[in-house]
Amino acid sequence: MTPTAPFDPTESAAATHLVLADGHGDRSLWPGHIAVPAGWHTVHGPASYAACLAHAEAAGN
Amino acid sequence: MALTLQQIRADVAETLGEDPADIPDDENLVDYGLDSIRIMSLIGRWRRDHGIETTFVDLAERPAIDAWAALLGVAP
Amino acid sequence: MTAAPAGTATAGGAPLTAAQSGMWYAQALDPDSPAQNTAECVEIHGTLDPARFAEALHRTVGETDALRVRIEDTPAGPRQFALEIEPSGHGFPMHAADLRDQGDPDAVARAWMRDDLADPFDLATGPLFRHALFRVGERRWLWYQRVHHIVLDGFGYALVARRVAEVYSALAAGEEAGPSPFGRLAELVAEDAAYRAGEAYEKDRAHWSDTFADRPDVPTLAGRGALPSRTFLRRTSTLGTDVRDRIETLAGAVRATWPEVLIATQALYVARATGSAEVVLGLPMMGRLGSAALRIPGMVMNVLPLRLTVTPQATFAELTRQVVLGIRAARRHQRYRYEDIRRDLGLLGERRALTGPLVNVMPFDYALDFAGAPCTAHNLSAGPVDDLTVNIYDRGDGGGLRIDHDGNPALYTARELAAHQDRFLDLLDRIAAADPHAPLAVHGIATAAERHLVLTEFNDTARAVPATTLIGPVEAQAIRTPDAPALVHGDLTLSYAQLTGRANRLARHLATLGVRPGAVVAVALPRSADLVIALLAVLKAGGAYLPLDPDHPADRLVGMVEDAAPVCVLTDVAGRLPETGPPTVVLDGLDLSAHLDITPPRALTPRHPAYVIYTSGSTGRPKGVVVPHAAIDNRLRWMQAAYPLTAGDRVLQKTPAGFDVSVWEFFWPLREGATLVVAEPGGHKDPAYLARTIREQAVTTCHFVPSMLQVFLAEPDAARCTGLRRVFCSGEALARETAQDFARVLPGVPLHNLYGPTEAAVDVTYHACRPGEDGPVPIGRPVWNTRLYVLDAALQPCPPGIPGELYLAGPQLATAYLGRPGLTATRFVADPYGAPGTRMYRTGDLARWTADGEVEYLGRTDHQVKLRGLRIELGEIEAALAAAPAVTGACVLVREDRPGDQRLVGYVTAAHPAPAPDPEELRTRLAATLPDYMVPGAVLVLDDFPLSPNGKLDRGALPAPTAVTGDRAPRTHQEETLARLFADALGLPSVGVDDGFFDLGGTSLLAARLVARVRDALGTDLTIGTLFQAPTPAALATKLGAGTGSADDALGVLLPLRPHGDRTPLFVLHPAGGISWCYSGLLAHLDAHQPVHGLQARGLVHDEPLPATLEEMAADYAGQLRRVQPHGPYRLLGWSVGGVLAHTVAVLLQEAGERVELLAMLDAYPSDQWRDQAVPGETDALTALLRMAGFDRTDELTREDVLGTLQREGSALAGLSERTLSAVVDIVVNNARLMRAHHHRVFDGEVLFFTAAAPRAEDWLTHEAWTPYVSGALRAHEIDCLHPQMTQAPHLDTIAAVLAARLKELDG
Repeated sequence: MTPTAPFDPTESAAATHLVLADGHGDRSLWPGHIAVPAGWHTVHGPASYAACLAHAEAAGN
Repeated sequence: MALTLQQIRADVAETLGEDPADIPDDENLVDYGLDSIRIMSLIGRWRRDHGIETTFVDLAERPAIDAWAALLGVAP
Repeated sequence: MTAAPAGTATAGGAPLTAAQSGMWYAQALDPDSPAQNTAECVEIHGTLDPARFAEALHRTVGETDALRVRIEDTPAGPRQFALEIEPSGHGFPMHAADLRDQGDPDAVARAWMRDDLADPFDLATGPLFRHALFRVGERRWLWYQRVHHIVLDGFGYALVARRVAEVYSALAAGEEAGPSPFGRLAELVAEDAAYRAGEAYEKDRAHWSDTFADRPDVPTLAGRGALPSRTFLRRTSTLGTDVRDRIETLAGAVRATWPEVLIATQALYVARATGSAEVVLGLPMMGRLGSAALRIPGMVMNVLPLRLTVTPQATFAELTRQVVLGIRAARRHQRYRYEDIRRDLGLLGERRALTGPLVNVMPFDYALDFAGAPCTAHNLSAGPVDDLTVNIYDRGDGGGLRIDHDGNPALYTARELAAHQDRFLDLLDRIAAADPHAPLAVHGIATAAERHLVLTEFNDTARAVPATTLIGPVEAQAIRTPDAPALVHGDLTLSYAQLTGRANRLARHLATLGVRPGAVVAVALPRSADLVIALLAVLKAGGAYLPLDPDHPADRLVGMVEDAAPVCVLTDVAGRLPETGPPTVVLDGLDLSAHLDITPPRALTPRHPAYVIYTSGSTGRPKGVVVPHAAIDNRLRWMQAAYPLTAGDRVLQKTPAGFDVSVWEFFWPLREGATLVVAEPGGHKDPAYLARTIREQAVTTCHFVPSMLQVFLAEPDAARCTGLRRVFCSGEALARETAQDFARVLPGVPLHNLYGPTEAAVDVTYHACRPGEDGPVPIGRPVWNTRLYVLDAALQPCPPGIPGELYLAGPQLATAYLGRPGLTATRFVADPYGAPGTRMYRTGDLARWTADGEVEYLGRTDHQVKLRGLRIELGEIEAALAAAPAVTGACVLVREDRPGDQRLVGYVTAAHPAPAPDPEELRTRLAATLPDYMVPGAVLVLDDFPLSPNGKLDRGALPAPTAVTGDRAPRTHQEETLARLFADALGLPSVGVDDGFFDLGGTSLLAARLVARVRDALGTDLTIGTLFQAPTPAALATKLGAGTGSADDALGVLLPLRPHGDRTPLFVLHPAGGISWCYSGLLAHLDAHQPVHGLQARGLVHDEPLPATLEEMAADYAGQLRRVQPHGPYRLLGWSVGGVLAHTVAVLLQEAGERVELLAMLDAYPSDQWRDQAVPGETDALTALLRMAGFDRTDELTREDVLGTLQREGSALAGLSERTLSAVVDIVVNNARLMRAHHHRVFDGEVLFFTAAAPRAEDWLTHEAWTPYVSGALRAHEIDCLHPQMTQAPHLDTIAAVLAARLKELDG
């Protein structure tokens, strides 16, 4: 019994995810169909999971 | 206002969420999603809009547009 | 009431329809169950003539074939037979009563109905219906009817009720009621038979088999199934007209009907309540459209399974469309019975469900009127409830919708049922007000009150804490109590001043190397005072420490150093680690005298990192978790408040520094003026060592991983650790049994269960275990300033009791994974429920809230496992396996083939046609890069991975590894004993002497148990370390030394089976063959402090004259045992000849003035019993030899035969030399001769006697034969075995238990 996890990696190329930033340098992956929490704003996407992951990786380095 | 065959088709199609042109007159409407609730809503609509009284069993016995037309005495 | 006499049923009557057959078989499972009763109550408002009513009823029954049957089993299967129903007033099943004079007429009527509903029908006798008419007011009547579901369904009820009203109204108007509108039951039966014989039947069957070809696991709200119950729970609510209208509007907007909207809502509810996107609902269908059944009351209804996929991304409109199209497709095949689908899919045998909850929408309004008196109808029972059925009634008349949640009481409590209903209605309300084109993610299933409870009330943990660091309070404490003992390690004690002084010097040195806030220092030291000093020094310089476990493979450590790029690596001796980039600081010989011993300056803030700890990574590389000071400081402040340490407390440091539990062990006591007791390296795996250390060092506080706690509690000395004031468990699920064992072994010592990942500063929840509690041990409530969220697939909060994924928020969150910003972004995500701009960490753990605010852990969502508290990503091991040459695929599992014993097993597939990879080579390869706990105990090479029907790897079908044991037989009794103990510990039938304990799947947990047993059985002080060095029975026997080198040592007259112990020794005397190895099986069951010495025959090793009389032999033995124990009281035991010898020795000892306090005999009989028997020859001697080894043979025997048998059975006796075997034969013959010649004197005392009580040829033997030779009582015990089996398990175990009890009495 596994909940469908919104953060699980997927190979799909569909633009399902976002990258959020909180203004203090933290990044968060986020599923595109769920409301963006207060205090965070979208800095990338909607894009594929892989693209968002790459963006977050690059932004942190 | 009298009920016409065309009206029957239109009402049935709307209830089923289909295009009237997609439902042949002699096809079993159950295959297109006709169920008890939809029959009841048609009964209600025809009573309200055309003063026609039908029973559930009447309509449910042969659920096809042409059968209903005959049952309700509607001119083809 | 007349009926065809029972028992005369032949092939008369009619067959049942398929629908009826289903009900028949369901009833047959529990013939007395009333669950198949359906019942309705129609309330009639107005005037009613009871006689006329009865007439109308009787007339209608006469028109309804279905009501006039009884059903009986025949050789041709169950059939329905027509029943004559008497006219009213002559036994017609109707009860009438005028209740107007009762205090509460409705209540009385309802009570009667309830009782009646609990009555089952007798299908074979009938009638299968019953009516009642109650007058409850001047103008109010209640018409009750109960019918067995096998004859009538809901639609049938409506037909019958309408006809009754019609007939009544006609009669009241003085008119004719008109001909019966109903068709014959025979038509229904015929229509059913025609379907089943036709093409459509096959097509329908194929459709359903295809639809469920992948045998999905169907989620249910209770999470489990149960047998059908005899009763059901019902919770009723009304959906108001306002909501109902909005639902209808919504239905129109999404091109559906209102029932479809309800079904879609239920699907959403079930998906979120079970955490499963794949949902199967059951939809009861009346199944009469276009059928003759429209006018024939009967049982026709069927349940259609509807598969739906409910994802948070989809919209409600899309979900409803799925429902509409799904039902449409299902209806085309709706005549195929639900029970038949279950049978086709093979679900019946496994009692697996085909659907989750049922949603039963009944839009029929009877619009009944009895000569003008209007009615309202109420359902009382809709039939059996396997799990949960949601019944929805639209009775028209603007009364809104009535909703009944019917639940199986074995699966739902009334409270749970109410919660499911309340949530469903609340969800419906919200959906009716929301945009149907928004993603379903905007909806959660918690009511507003539940949301507030789980988000706010349960997380009310805010607490102001000063902004300190991990190290600051340690330094402040050192100033307050400089002379108090801070650290103890073996003989070394350091005061606070000494400890911090040394750390300060080292810190200043590190600072010169560039260690400052933000820098990382790798620390690779074994557990010692220096380790503590090193960690303190790094922190004092402002740096973050990265602990490297010296036991891990060098490659792995080098990888971590390369990944973390620390400023330097701190170690104790040169060469501990291979060369890496950063410079190494070697403490050994380092001169720090030039540095001041006061606190170095540093610009350290709580946001700086305090430590970096690496955890297993799922894609193959371990990842470093960076924990800031603020996080760990919050954690330690909470801990001190919750479990206050005082200066007198002593905390044990036993957890390796690479696991974050060690952080509180190291630093908590030092911040509070308590003492840190540092255990020896490796000591954390040795329960005896731990118990000793805890006692000797007066430890008050310590931690165990639950599986290690279990091992510790099995240690005899654990119960003496009464100085403990608190014990913590974390790292894996704590079993309730373990907590209960703890309460038994250490009553009064509080046990606390904590939980938390490395990513959240050690622990985030806590629970105090209380004796007498039941069920799983919760992980508990959140610690200070910490919030826990249990979220569903849409990140909506789950209400209490509903499982979801656990997320954590608060200041204890780690900063990031070192150097992995992408990974960090996927696990430390935005928090929708905290202050704006805050994060939450997703644990990957499944959990649920309890009703009172604690969290229960339910398992993982992924492939991370905990083995003995150690966190392992199976993916990391799989990646390592897959990287090996010739391996094409890899999978790793934790298997628990024996309950309680978990082990890692790897599976690989190999490239063809290349040679298959060697499992041992693979394991060796893994051991070079993975810590030992991550190397699978076994690796199996498969041709292909097994796949499930939907094409995925079927982990459940992977084979269990089988143990392969070696060939060589044991050479000594020590090897034999050890081999047996190995086998016991590993749960294997046998173990070869050269088989490695760990190769056979032994784990360090099992090793600890083995060591304890070896210690008990052989009295030797074995450590686990020794076992690791000598992991085979042979090697271990060698290492244990002390007289176990060669077989000859075990053949001396005195055999030290267990030489140590402070109790009075037990001497065991040899049976016929002269060898006493057979008694080694006693050792494990006697007190560990009970020494045991065997006496063996002369002549086994050297050529020695054999004794000429039994008396001479006994005197020799008495002399031998007095060398071990000069004076009594003596304890003697002997089997067979040994028992006779024991008696003789006992008499001699008494005559010498000594006391004999125990004389025990195993199936031994005095000489006079044997005197007339023939003296044995060689064959008999060989038989005796086999018997000594535990086998019974009476065939022709040669020495070769016997040796062969002994070798085959792995007996140590097979290792005897030719010479010794020869001697044994001579000894047997001699002993038999001496026995017959002997005359016993009287032993003054009692005898403990064990009889081999299984039937045997020598049936005259009885213990009473000793009466003339024993002055005291003969306490006899019967053992159900043959003579040769007495020294084998399980018989010897039974004997040992009795013996142990007697010894205990003697010990006093």
